[in-house]
Amino acid sequence: MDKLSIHLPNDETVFSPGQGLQGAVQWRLDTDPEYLELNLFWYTSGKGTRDIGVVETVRFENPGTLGSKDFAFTLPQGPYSFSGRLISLIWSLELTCSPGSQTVRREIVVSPTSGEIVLDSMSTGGSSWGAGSTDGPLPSILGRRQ
Amino acid sequence: MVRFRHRGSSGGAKPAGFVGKLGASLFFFVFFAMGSFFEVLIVREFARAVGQRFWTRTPCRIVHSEIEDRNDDENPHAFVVRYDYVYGGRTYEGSVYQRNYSGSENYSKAQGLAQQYPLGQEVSCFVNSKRPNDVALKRDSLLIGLVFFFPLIFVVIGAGGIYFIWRREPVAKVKPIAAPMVRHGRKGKYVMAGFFSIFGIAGLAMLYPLGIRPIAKTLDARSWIETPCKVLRGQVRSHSSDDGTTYSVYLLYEYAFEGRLYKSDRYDFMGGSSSGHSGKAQVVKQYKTATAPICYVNPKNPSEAVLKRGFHVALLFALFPLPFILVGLGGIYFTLRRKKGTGSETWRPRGRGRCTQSGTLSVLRQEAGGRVVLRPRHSPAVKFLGAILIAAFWNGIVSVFLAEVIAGFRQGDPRWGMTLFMTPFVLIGVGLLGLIVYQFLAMFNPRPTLELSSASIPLGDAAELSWRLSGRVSRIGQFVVTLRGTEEATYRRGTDTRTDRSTFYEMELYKTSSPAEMASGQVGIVLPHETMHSFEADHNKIIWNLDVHGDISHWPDVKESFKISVLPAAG
Repeated sequence: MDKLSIHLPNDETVFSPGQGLQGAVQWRLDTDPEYLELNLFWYTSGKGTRDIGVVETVRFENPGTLGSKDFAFTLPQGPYSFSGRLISLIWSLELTCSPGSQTVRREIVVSPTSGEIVLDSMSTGGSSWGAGSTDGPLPSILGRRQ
Repeated sequence: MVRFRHRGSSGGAKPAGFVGKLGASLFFFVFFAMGSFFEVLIVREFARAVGQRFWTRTPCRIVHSEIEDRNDDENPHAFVVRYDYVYGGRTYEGSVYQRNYSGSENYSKAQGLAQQYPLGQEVSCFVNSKRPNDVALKRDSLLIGLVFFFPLIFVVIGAGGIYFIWRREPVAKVKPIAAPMVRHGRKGKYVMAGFFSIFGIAGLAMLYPLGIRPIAKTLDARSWIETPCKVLRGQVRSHSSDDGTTYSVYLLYEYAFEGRLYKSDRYDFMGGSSSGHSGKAQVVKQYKTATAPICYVNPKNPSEAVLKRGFHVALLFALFPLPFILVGLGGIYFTLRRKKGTGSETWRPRGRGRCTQSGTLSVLRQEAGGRVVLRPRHSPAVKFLGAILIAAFWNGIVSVFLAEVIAGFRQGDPRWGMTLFMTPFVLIGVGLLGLIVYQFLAMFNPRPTLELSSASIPLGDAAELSWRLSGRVSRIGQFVVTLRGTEEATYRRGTDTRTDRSTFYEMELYKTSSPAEMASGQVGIVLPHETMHSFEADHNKIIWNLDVHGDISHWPDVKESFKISVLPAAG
């Protein structure tokens, strides 16, 4: 029976933008495939028509019916994994073999926080301050929060 | 923590039941049957045309050649020919010019054939060796084979639809998401380019007969010889089709040139038919009653003449192919140029304006020190023009039916059913006219100009925003600047494309009722850290806007929106 799998160290699934992502793929197949393909990508889910962004693809040519290979990617700065009222953005690793449609997918989270960004309620963070006149410049604002 | 996630496939639907599948299959079967029927006819015709390629070319002599006028509105002029030929030691007589030839709509075409095959001329004809009585002067065109592909679309849609309705889905299998895009992404692009090329080819195919030829003839006809002519027959011809009836001017006239008598039925170089009967009836009447009508004869080919030469309004129809060509070529260009789906930067915000390191932003101009002047998403003039276009489109369609309703009332035969049906459509049309007035008045509002300390702001960082209001600021009662983050999801429902919006972040940056503070001011912003940066894919977006709202009593409010670029947090 065909079997594909993606392994991440310590089963870690939350990563920071820009972080390295290493792991391994394993396969045991009944027939000899031409190649295996591993895609790092994001896709949207929810009300809108699905958008997909493939960030990196690794192809293992003539892999044989049984084997294992390591992979290493560097995650981009964005987009973040998020869930809103209308849209979710999901990052994933997908391993497919060709010919055939045998597929395995492993979801990951790409976020600067400990999990995906949640937009299901009106956020209240951030701040502002100002003056209704431009007679004089504002004091330096960097690092200042109210 | 409760997580809110959409895991279902976008636009996913429940599997149809047996009755639903049967109904859908019937729908696709109609496509399949219609396509197959026409396919059989085309294949049969093409096979006959190919068969004629094996007929024997044989010398023959024209024994009769004339143009016959028939009582047939579609093809009133027919080239009638008889010729004799010897085949297998026997003499035969043929009368077929080309299989299925039934006459010509224009006299000039029939006349051209008569000139090509004059009495006594020795020409070649094609004889079926199995049945020597089967003969033609001209073999069928093989171009019919090109039509083969048109009904094939219906056959493929029908057969494909039935196949996909009844095929068994593999059970509990993970479907690949990224792999099809990686494997077929480029092919999809070329399929789209192929679709647009159909528009381009259609436009180019129309360009010669509708554009180049009439204009070239019009220019050439400036040197044609002014010649008296006699109108033999004149009428307004009707052409019925699914889209209604159109009309054309038909005038058959006779003229003498260099001692020889000719006939022609060309009125102008555009030809074709259009709506409107009375104007064409007037033209026919003028020529039929004219004592000395004039036609213009081509001295190089005296059988060619025209009644109306020079540039006239109907020649504007020559521009008709241009939109097709522009849509086709533009579509091909933008489809092939577009980077879709692959690469790590496809989600970056796109917009009008300057290119920066973070993408193309809605920036009007860049000031010293990295400050940028923002461009409003839609200027008042654009909103006004948009309102005019929408109102013209809606009311243009509604007016056709409204005219029918009004005509009914005028004739004392009101159509109450149609009147009731049309009422909501007319009310929307009136509302759209009101929108034009609203947007026109809004053009005279004070205009805000927004300046930001940086072209893009990373999450968690700070920026300075300053504004200036030009115009009569004292009219504004309250002035509010708001930073807003919005989700935008675009999807198809039936044949409609819809966009839903949901605001996930809103912060009032500044609010004042003092005209002095409204006129100009500045405010500092610190963006929250744990939220989503700007994200713009084809159908799903996270948009950050600075919204300016000035409340004016008894007048359209100041409402301007300025898109800004919010980047992922600085590493």
